[in-house]
Formats: sequence, C-alpha cells, structure tokens
Amino acid sequence: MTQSTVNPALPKPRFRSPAILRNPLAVIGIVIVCAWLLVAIFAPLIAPFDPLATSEDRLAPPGAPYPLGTDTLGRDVLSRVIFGSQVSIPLSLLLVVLSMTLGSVLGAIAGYFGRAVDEIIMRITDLVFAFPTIILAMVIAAVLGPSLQNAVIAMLIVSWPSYARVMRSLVMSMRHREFVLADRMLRFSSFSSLRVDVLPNVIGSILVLATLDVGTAILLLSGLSYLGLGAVPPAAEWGSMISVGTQNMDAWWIALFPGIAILSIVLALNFIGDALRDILDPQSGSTGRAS
Amino acid sequence: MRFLRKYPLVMFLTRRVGIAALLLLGVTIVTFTLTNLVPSDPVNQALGDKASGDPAIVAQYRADHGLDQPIVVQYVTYLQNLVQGDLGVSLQTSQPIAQELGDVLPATMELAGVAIIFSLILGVGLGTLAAYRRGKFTDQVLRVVSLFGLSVPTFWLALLAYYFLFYQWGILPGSGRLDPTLMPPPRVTGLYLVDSLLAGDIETFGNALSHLILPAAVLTLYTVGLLVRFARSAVLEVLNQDYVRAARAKGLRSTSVVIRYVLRGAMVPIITVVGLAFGGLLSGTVLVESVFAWNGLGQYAFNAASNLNLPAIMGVGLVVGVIYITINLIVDVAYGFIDPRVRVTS
Amino acid sequence: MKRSLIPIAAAAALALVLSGCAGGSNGGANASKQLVIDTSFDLTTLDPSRMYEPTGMLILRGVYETPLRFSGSNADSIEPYLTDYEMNADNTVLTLTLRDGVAFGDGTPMTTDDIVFSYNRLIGIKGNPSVALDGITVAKVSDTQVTLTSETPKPQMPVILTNPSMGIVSAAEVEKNGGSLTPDDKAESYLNTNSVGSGPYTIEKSDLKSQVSLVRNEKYWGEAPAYDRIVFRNVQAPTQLINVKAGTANIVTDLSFDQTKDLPKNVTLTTEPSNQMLYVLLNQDPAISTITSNPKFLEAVRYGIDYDAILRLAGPDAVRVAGLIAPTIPGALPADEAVKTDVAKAKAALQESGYNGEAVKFSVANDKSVRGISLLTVSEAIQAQMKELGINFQLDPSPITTALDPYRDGKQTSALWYVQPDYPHNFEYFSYFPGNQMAKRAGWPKGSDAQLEALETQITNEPSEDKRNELFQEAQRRFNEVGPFVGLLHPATNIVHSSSVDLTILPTGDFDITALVKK
Repeated sequence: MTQSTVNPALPKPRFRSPAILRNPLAVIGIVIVCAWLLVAIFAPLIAPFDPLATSEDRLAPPGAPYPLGTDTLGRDVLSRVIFGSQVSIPLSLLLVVLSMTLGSVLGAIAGYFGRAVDEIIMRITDLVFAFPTIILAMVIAAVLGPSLQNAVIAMLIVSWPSYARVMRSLVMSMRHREFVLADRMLRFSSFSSLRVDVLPNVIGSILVLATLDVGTAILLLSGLSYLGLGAVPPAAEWGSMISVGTQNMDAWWIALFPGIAILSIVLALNFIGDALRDILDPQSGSTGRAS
Repeated sequence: MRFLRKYPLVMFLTRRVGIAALLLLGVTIVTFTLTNLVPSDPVNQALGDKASGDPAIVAQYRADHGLDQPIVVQYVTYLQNLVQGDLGVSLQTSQPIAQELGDVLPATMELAGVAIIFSLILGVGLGTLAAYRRGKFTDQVLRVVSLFGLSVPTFWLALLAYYFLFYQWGILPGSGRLDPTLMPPPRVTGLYLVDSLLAGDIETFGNALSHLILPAAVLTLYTVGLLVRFARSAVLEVLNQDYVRAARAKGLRSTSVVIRYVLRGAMVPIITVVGLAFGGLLSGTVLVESVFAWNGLGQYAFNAASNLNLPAIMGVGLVVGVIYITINLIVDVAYGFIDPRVRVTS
Repeated sequence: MKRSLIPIAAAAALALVLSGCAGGSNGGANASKQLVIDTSFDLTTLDPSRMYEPTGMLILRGVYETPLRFSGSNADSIEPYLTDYEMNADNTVLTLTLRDGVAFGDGTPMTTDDIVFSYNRLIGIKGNPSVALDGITVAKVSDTQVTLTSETPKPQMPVILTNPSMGIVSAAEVEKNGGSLTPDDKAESYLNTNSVGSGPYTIEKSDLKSQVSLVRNEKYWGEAPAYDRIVFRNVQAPTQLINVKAGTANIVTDLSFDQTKDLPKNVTLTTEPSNQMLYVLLNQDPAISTITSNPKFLEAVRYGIDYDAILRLAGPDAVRVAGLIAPTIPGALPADEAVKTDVAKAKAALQESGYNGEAVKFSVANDKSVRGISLLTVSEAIQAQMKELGINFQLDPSPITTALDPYRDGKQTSALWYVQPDYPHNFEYFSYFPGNQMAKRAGWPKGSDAQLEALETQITNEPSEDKRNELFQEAQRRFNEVGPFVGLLHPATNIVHSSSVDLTILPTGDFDITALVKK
C-alpha cells in the first residue's frame, strides 16, 4: 500500500530515549515488534511444519494439528505466516535503508549545490510524486517481471524522493548557519563540509522518517505480492498468501491470518513512530506542554 | 517581464502553470519510457496462438498499431495525437483509450469522491474532538483508531468487508456499481449518483448508493486515519492563537468558537491534506476495486499493466498525472493567495 | 453457510418491478425471462471475423449463426444449421447448401453472397481466426450453394464451420459501415456495438471490459429463444460463486471444483471433461538446456510426477491425459493407456541422466486459471513433488503476456502450460508432431522422430476416418514414450447455474445460449 505515514513538520532531533517508555502505546509497539523479530529469527524452531511441504490435508480448517488450517496445497498456514516474517521484515528494512541512502544523498547534493543540480533532482522527485505510489510501482514491477528483487527495485524508485525532499530542505536551512559559513571561509572543499558539518545534524530527522517508513514498506510489498508482482511461489509471503485465499472464500483462514500478521506489525511500528514524533516534536503531541 | 514583476501574483501563477505543463511533458516521457522497456512483445498477447505464428498477420498488426516505427517516431506521433485528444487505441480491445478512460474515470471519481466526503466529515470531526480532549482517554482512543486506519492493508480490509457484509450476511451488495437488472442512468456526468438524480430515478440512485457503501467505507478508513492526525494538530495550532484564546476567554460558547474561529483557521492545512489524501485514495482504488469488481481506473490500470497494454498504461499515467498535478497546482495557488510570502520567495 | 432468503426475495421483487418498467408488456411473466451470465471476460472484439476468445464465442453464438453447429457434448455431434453440407471423398471440397427462409435482424434474407463475403472478409482482414481458413478458397456455385476448397485434405472443415467466428454477417450492412475484404476494413468498431447477423439476439449495449447485454431479435427467422434478454458481466470466480448462490447471476462459468462443493439446492452444477490440457513442457533443444533435453531426465519427470495428486487439485470431474487428444474427440487413447507414476523407474532414470541437483527454470503464467484451476497452484505442487525426487525446479512466474513470448519462441527450459485445440478435431493435433508449432516450442525440430513424422504423412493421406483414428492412437503411444510434453490433466468444464436453466456443454467447452431451456 501507499499509505505513507505522513510526517508534517519535521522535528529537530533531541533524543531523550527513556521518554518513549513512558508512552504505553509505544511500549506495546516495541513488544510486538520485538516479538516479530524473534519469530523471524527463530522461525525454523517455532514453526510446527515445513512451510513449503504439501500434504493431502487440503483446505483443512483451523484445529489440530494445524492451528490456523491449511491452504489449497495442504500447507500449514501457521508455519507459512511465521516464515512470511522472514520475507517482509528484512526486505522492508533493506528497502528503507536503500531509499534512505539514495534519497538522502541526492537530497543533500540538491540542497547543498542548489541551482541546476537542485532543479534537476527536484523535478525528478516531482515526477515521481506525480503518480500514486502503487500505480507507479505496479507498472515498474510489471515491466521488470514479478520477483521480490524487482518489487524492491520498483519500491525504491517510488520511495527515495520523500527522503530527498526532507534532506534537501534540512540541508538548505543548515547551509546558512554560521558554522557552514565558517567552513567556507576556511576554504574547505564543498564535499567535506557537507560531510563533516551538515550531515550529522540532519541524520536524526531522517532516521525518524525511516522508522515510520518500515511499516509503509511492509504494506506496499504485500500489496504488490497480492497483485502477483512480488514474492515468487512457493515462498511464503503474506500478501501472496492473501491472494491465494481469495480463490476460495469459504476457506477464510488462508487470507485472514496473514492479514492479521501484516496489521499487527505495521500497527506496532506506527505506535512507535508516532511516539517518537511526539517526543521529537512536542508541539503536536499529547506529552508536550499544556495549552 | 517588467509587467510580471509588478504583479507578483500573476508571475507566481504563470510560473506555477508553466511548471505544471513541464511536469506533464515529463509524465509523458516517463510513461513512454517505461512502456518501451517492456521485455515482451505486446503483439503476442493481442494475437491468438496460431495467428502470432503467421508473419503476415503479425506484420499487419504492427503496421496497424504503429509498432513498426522507431521509438522516437512513436513518441512524436504519440505527442501529436495527444494534443488532439487522441490517446491511441487499446491493444486489448481496439477501442480508443480516451473513450475507455472516459468510461472508467467517473467510476473511480465517484468512489473516491464519496470516500473523501465521508472522511472529511469524520476526519475533521474526530480530529477536532481529539484536539479538545488532548491527552485524555478519548484522544488516545482516536489516536489508536487513526493509526489502525493507516496500518491495515487496504486489500485485506476490503476482503474482510466483502466476506462478512456481503458473502456471509448479504447486507450490502459486493460487486459492481449497480445490480445487473438495472440499466445505468442516461449518461451526463458518468457519475451514477448524479445522473440518476438528474433523470429523477430514485431507485437507481438508491441502488448505486448501496453499491458504493462497502468500497467507499474501506477507502475512507485509511483517509480518516490520515485526516484525524492532521485535523488534530491543525486545530491545536489554532487553539493556541491569541484571537482564539481571546474569544474563549470572553466566554463565547465553545461550539461557536469551534465553527467561527478554529475550523476556519485550520481549514487551509486540512484542505492540503485532503488533496494529498485524494492521491492516496487513487492508489487505494487499485487494490479495492479488484475486490469489489468496481470497473474503475484502478482495475483498468492493473489490467493494462498485467497485459502490457502500452497505450492504455500511458493513458492511465497521463490521467493520473494530470489529476495529481492539478491538485498540487490548486493547493499551491491557494497558498499563494492566502500567504503572500510564498509568492515572493518561490 | 446459511443465507437469508430476504436478499433473494428482494432481488426477485426488484426484477419484477424492473421488467415492468422496462417496457415489458406483461410484467410478471417477463421478469424471469432475463438471464444473467457471470464470466471472467477475455473479450477483445465483437466482430465475429476477428473474434477468437471464449467470451466472444459465448456471446456471439446468440448474435451470428454458423453454417453448421454442435448438438451435443461430443465432437462428432455436428448437425446442419444454416446449411446442409457434403464433403468429397478426398476431404478437400465442402459443399454448403443454404436453407430457405434465413434472414438477418433487419429482415433482409441471407444469400450465398453473404456467406462468400463473410469468409473472404475473415480471410482478407487477417484477424485472429483467419488462420482457420488458410489455404481454403470460398466460391459461390449458385444462389443456394457455396463451396470451400482446400489445397490439402481438411476433414476438419465442418468442425471449423461450427465456430462462432464463422458466423455469417450481412454483407450490405458491413460494407455500409466501413467493412471491406482487406486489412483496411474499418467495420470493427461498428460491430462492437451493433449486430449485423441473423441470430435470435441482437446487441443491446456493450462494454468489452465490463458488460454486454443482448436482447431478443424481434424479427428472428427461426423459433424464439427461451430468454428475452441476456446480460454478460465480467466477474471473477469468487464473486461468481456468491452471485449464483444469491440468485443475482443465473449462470457462472469459472468456478473451480473447490468452489462447487456444497452448492445449495437452487443451484446446479453441469460438468463435462474439457478438451483443454494442462501439460509440462521440457525443452529438447540442447542449446536451451542440456538437462531437460536429456531423454533420461525427461523420463524421470514423466514417471516421477504423481498424477493422481495433481488430479485431486482439479477435482473429481477432471480426467488424466491419456495421449494428447482429448477424450471428447475421436482418436483419443483409452484412459488406461495413460502414463503411470513409477517412482523407482523415475529415480533410476534420474541416476542415469547424470543430473546433479542443478536448478532448472520452470516457467508458469501466474495470472491464469484454467477452468478455476490456478496454474500457479499446480506448478507449486509439481515443484514440491519434483523436489522429493531430487529435481530442483525453480519457479519462474510471470504474467501470461510476458510468459507467452519466450514460450512461442521455444525459449523456455521447462514450463507448465495449458492448450486447447482451436477446433475440436484430431487434425489440430498435428501441431505436436516434430517441427510443427507446438513441437517447436519444446525445441523439437523436424527429424527428431522418424516414426512420428512417417505417421503424420500417412494420416494426412488416409481417406478412411476409422483408420486415421487408429493411426492417431499409435502416434500417441509413441508420444507417451519420447514426446517432450508431459500431459497432466484435462480439466472439467464446470458450469454452475440456477436449477431452472437446462444447458448442454459443447465440445468447445462453452454452451449455446440460444439452446438454453427454461424449466
């Protein structure tokens, strides 16, 4: 999905780490995310069955020995949901790291150099923003052919510009600050001043945006897989499991549980992101000063 | 130029419209490039099994659809036709793309429009409530609700709604825009709700509305999630303004304060988000329309992409690009009128 | 699952009210004379001479009429319709005699000129179905007779003439609307929304993506059909199931076996084995793959597949592939001659092939279901079975558009595909013989198997149909040993419909909407 967790005014980075533990929703979020991380890491130990092993128990409803039932090929839904975390979580993290890196670098270049470079990079981001995320990602993925790798490339193409914009505006506002001016006087080369002074100041803000984006990435990836443009069978992936479930509505368990998995982890990430935003930007949050 | 400099607003508008036009050209290049990267040959899908093995038929098809020309020529031809409102012909149906888009676009607009109205009412109402109850239990509940809306996979939610409200309980219709026994109302706008009212056909209106409820409600949940957050912070900001504090201190009744001062002040940022949310809705329709067999732009885009129907993909890209750019332009211009600083600095 | 009767009653009431308003003369009686058919559309045109797809066939049977037609579910149930027919002894000349009284929707009588025009246009515009009349000349003999003359023996000509793409159009109407006998023909867009045929229905309204409705042709020359209005809607399988159960659709065509379990009483399943075939292709071209082109590897796959397990995915009405020819078509192999799973034999062959666990790309169209059976699901099952045997198939799913390209070029290493003969006749199966179209897709050129190639020539020149059928059986036994096609199953055609409708599934896998019976 394209549900970008919109982040209005970007906060100034002022980390007060224990504050997050005072927010009950954030604590719930952290617990759920940690639980999913453990599930992903220890999937082979937790899952009762091989997620790819077919059996003659086709379309068995939830019950022993299949707590969440089986799919059209008699594969255990629980085991597939568990192994699905090994696809969605690492790939979403990878995507966010990639788009953060690419977007930040391009945004910093645009913001620092300004003029023609800025104009070109910003017009490209405008172009990407001129399409709804999933439509553009869908077309790119369809053109490249379905595979997880191509889905990630498609998502990267549509997701870097938001980082570029944030980074650009931050760099531009920083550029006028004294320490950068001082650099200029000392005749530092442009690149080294970008590296030494500007970047550390904006990295905090970008990281907040990234946290919120992991959830968006999970939704988008599952959406593409649901459309048949992501994970390649027989791999267990949540979006494609839901799509298989639509073939037979009476076997509701095939589609229900992967959806709950997606919802739980994305909601947890949003709880955390929301709390982080409150902490870093008290203006809009409930923990800020009283009115 | 001097004239323009003398009237910054005119210059601002000229500049914005110019940028929008350039963006549109960019959109055509992007869609055209994308569709020409396609690894497979559209001829294969369009022609049948045996026919595709017959060089004469293939050559004829290529010539008919201009696929035998060099890419640059194809692009220039495309632009020339575009200027005349000709978006080409679908490889799947041989119908003009413009006509097909004209059929599917109102369906999506009607769905997105109803969803936007729902979510504007709900989102602003709940957002204002959350701002007034800031930090209290209601605020927390609304926060969870809005985060839920942002976190739930739309296609899965659509399936749930479909499964329970249609499949199991049969409360609401689950596919299409009208019952098959009804004929669509005579076309004026293409929006069934409007057209059926114009025709004075209350039965069709009611039927179209009942078909809209499920998909629109699913789309609404996401947008509401977005709007509640924004409305809340926009209202909070206004609440801190001196004039509102003064009004409240004077003892004006809170409902009138909300309507006269707070919402008016908060409307600009909220309208901006509605613009953004509309884009989100267009995305959502791709996944939701397929569940509810809603014959709109989203389904059309998906069909075009998976069948590599190049002219159709370009048509969709163009339409969507135009909608997006127009919304952005409107938002920009609105800002320009409201906040004079924007005109000067941009 | 329990359903309340209220929505059904409401729908029925609504239908009553509507047909009253819609100008029906006698309200109640007309209400049930409307029929809604939900099917997954693959419609690209409603011009019969360009039409090739199943949805188009289904719809156009009501609008255009063909010289001959099927009366039952078997491929030999051909009967005269618009014309009588007679084939000469060499199977090269087919003579059609037009019956009296046939008229188009506008009341003008059909002539042999219309038949000649229709077929010359079909050939001349080089649309999809033009291949069927390759090498055939159409000539008017008299005001009642037309001949179709083929360069080579074509005993399948009568079968071809039952296909709705062979429907007769009114020459005058088509010419008036831009039609011609060359690729410059411009009549298609007119024909997409208008009818120029002699059928019992005319097109009321059409949107190729979503919905087509037909209404009764008031001036129909023959007996009036059972229904006054037929609506075809583009609906995917899961929704079809709901609609037919709820009574908002009367006939649905794409349900899988899993979806047709536990149907309520008001709904009936009619099923027949189809002539479609799901098969695994293993490329024999060593330049594509030295693994799949190894005969021992082919043998390992052929004997290693658990056919019964695959068949269970498709339901009890699907049948195993015995030879290549579908059981409804003369010349098919008896069911008991199908290849039998033999894991020991497969393992021995695999050992002998020298295969060492290398990954083998296995392509599949991931957006395609055949009669409700998802190709992707079947390929996953095969992949899992082969893994147990020690063969490492790597699935390579892509949309059918993308997959068709390398398939038709013979570039796929291995793949799961479905095929259907264009016309239900055994001559269509020549395509599998070495060097022909289907064989080339499996990298199997002329000279690959002398025995099969000799049989091909022998069958073509054999005048006796019984003898030809025997020779076809002999060929299929050979295919079961050396052919690069591993046939899995013929899926069943499942048509689920209101119990108040009676229908017969034709050998083409669809049904004739003009022959529906209302109970």
